[in-house]
Amino acid sequence: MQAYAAREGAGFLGLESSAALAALPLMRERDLIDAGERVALFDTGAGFKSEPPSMAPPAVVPNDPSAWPEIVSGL
Amino acid sequence: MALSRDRTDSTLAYLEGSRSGIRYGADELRGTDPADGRTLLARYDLEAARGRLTKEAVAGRRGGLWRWEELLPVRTRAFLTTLGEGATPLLPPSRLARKLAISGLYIKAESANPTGSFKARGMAVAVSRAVELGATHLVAPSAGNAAGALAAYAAAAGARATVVMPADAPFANQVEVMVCGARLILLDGLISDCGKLARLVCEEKGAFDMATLREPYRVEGKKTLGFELAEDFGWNLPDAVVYPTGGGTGLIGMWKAFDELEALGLIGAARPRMYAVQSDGCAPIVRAYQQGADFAEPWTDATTRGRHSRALRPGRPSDPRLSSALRRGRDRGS
Repeated sequence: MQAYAAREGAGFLGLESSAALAALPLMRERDLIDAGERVALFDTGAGFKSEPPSMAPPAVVPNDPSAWPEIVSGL
Repeated sequence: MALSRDRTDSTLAYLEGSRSGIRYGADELRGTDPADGRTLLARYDLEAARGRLTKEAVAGRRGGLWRWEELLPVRTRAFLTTLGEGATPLLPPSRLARKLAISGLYIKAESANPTGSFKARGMAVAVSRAVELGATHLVAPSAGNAAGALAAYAAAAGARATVVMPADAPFANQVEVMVCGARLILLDGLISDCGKLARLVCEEKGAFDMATLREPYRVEGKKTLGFELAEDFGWNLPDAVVYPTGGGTGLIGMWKAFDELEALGLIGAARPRMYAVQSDGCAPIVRAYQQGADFAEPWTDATTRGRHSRALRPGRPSDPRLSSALRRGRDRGS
């Protein structure tokens, strides 16, 4: 959920805040929040201070200019 | 705000037992209510504050959360300890709002505080006030961000700090404590066990207990969340607040803020619906609400940790005021 929020432009939310964000769809389903309401979601902490999510580390690119075109073309 | 004056414009009047209602003088160092061990709440001379704390006055001030000094407890300007806390942005995450079909979604970005969390607010005010009242050694249990906040503000205020953390607390929080020069005790136990050890440190070393709701002023710092929310929303509070909750002091503080702002005539009687969100594995506030309890009891078998959080359970709308925590929301059938 941290990655989802960040990729949707909400920044690197704290772990607990991303959990609260995950509750919003459920709250909409239960009619606890209406579509047109003004809602304040608190991001109470910084994402970078919590344990990082499990992600595969990026591969290290060789410092060989002849290999770079293939890497760039794959972006 | 004239920074050259020695005295702040605090209108702090007395402390009041959150359940007993007993009044105590506010100008000596106090922990919990001697009558029942519950939290003491700071009360202000709101009539005196009314003429000074206006929308225009606040808008013209700088200084983060200290812009609200009439409704904060520190009396002497030299004891205002600041690292730049408060005045965090209210962000409109428009793409996320569309995906969630909540057009008026805003995020209050508390990570912009100096220690990376809203805990800076509570500790800035509580440490300032404790040191003003003579405390020299401050102690708190913490499983996360309160630890670094206490360490940072104690260092800034020139006080000693000791933090007791569960051994599996995030490493970044541990590092923050040590970098700031506080003593860190890692305990092979839960946060409730850390609280017991912290209280022993207080008893044996004459230190002051800064644990959540065991002193009156962390709530006062967190109260500024509510002040800023009112200001951010043009003095017309939002319909709903969704708050990831640990012990609930942020919600309590906001509710207190709204009552004080209403008493000053700065907002009306309408209140947001307050939603406490906790993970299934550690949900003391949600459980207290569901059981109709006035106070949340410690969760003794917490299973939620870090990114291993399990499914979420949003609490229903509640009134988080301490003396009737969660009850009014249930009574009004929402």
